[in-house]
Amino acid sequence: MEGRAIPKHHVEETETTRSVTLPAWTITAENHPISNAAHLDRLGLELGIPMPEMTFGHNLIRLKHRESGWEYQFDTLHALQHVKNGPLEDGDGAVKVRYADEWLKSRTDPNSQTPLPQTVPTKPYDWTYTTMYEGHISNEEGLRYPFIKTQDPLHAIPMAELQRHDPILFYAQTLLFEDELHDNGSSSLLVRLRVMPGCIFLLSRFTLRVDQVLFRAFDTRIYHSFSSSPPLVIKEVIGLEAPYDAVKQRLEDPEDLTPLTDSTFIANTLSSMSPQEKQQGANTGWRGIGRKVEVATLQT
Amino acid sequence: MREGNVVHISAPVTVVGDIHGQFYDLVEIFRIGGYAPSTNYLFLGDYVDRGLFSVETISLLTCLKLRHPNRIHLIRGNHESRAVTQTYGFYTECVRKYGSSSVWSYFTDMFDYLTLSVVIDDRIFCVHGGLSPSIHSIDQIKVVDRFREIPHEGPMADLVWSDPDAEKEDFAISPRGAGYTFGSQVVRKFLAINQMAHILRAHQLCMEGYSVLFDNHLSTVWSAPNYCYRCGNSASILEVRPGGQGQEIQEGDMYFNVFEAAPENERDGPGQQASLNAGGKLPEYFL
Repeated sequence: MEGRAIPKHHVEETETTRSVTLPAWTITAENHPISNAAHLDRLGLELGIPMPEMTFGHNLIRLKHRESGWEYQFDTLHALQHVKNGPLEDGDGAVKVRYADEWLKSRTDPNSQTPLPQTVPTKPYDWTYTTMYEGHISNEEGLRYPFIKTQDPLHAIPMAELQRHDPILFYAQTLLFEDELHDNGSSSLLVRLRVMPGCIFLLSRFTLRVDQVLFRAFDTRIYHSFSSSPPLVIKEVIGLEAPYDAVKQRLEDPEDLTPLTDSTFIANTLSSMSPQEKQQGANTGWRGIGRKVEVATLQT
Repeated sequence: MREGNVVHISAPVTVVGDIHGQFYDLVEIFRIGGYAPSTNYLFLGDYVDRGLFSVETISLLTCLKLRHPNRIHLIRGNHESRAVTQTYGFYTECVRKYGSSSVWSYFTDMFDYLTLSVVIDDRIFCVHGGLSPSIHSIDQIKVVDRFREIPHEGPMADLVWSDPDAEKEDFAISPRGAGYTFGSQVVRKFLAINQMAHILRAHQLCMEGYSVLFDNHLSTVWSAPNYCYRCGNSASILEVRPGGQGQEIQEGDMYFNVFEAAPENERDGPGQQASLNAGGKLPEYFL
């Protein structure tokens, strides 16, 4: 739609917090340095797993629809609550580093020069920090407007509209956590949001690379058109996985591995694979592979 | 090349942890810790990868080592490896700055010669990662063949890769399927057998710049402030004072000098790249 009016909006900003107040919405983004040791200990105690190396425990993005009172949030504590704590089972998509078998073999072989010492049991958990977190309704009132599955084609996020370079009224991004998997790859959860003249669009992206083993992407997209009546919020969740080599093959320059550290390249490459390849993933049995669409109707 | 796998040095010496190509912060370290050779330095490894200036960082450290071989010591970190530098930035930076991979090749050849550990005043054991179940006495380190690419298994791998676990007493295998963590009894036994007072290592990010564990028997030194230009963490260098004696570290033996990122990073940092600085100052039409 050409010549769309710019909705009234007011931006407030401090060193760590940015927010925008629109006619019907208030959106807040918090960006703080990584959690200190005391905060990490508290989080670790609560979650029962070792915290990612870079845990931004105070970061978040919150969407509030003032009339209905609906509040939807993406934050680090809740994201990490979805990381498997305990032995990984079918569907959890357990991963080991590429050289795990050789490592164990070299120590359990009867002629080993470096036999295993007396070890204590290792606390099992998903060290890749894979999380299928889609954000959450963060207040009591909001629970009256839950997300409900939909197959309605009208409930598709209009990518054509989002590809237009309309003016961005408010932009925010926040990193919830990042871990270098002990130099065996990278795991991160980044949330980005842009307010356009006609809509709010958010992308929460979990990206995982395990060197020589696999890639994963778990995307949650939130879309709301200001002209929807009653106000409708669309949530699309897509999970993708592929073997490391399948993505590496698609590099433009086989000598330059830098794109393998770029979440956009990874997600785009995973999306471009055939339905069959997508279904198979990297043969981990991870239940996150697939796509679903849900809507929340903020009818007051 | 002439150095053994365990190099013995004396205090005073300032110990530096991971730098990861953050060149301006290396210069900051010399500003606050004193310039070489007036100050003796011991670097615990991980000079390259992730930061924007791995080439400048390793070049300066190599020159200093050549010029003042007895005042500058460089230990090998897990990033001083061909495999790791191909994924984490050093290889790419070399090709970009020199047009080919030869410089990367020469540096990674040089890494094979870096020593594995240093002992200060016969009482402080310094290594990049941590302890190994195969190493009870430091004499066992001396017989390792270190002139090679870092292997995935064996004592050489453990010394550059393992981590302490304050919740445990013994060794444990990492949930990743390879690699060890070590606990309080392991540290106690190692110090007793080798008649030492403390273990100094790097390898793990510390928000406050350093961390002390196991009742002041092990410290982690982290020297890359605002790591990856987005963590907002502090960094530190550890000043070891001379005259320390006995099996316990006394107050005044060691001092953690904490510092923040150098101001030069603001004007010569990630800039237009997708850096995740506070407040998302770079709007993007992401899809």
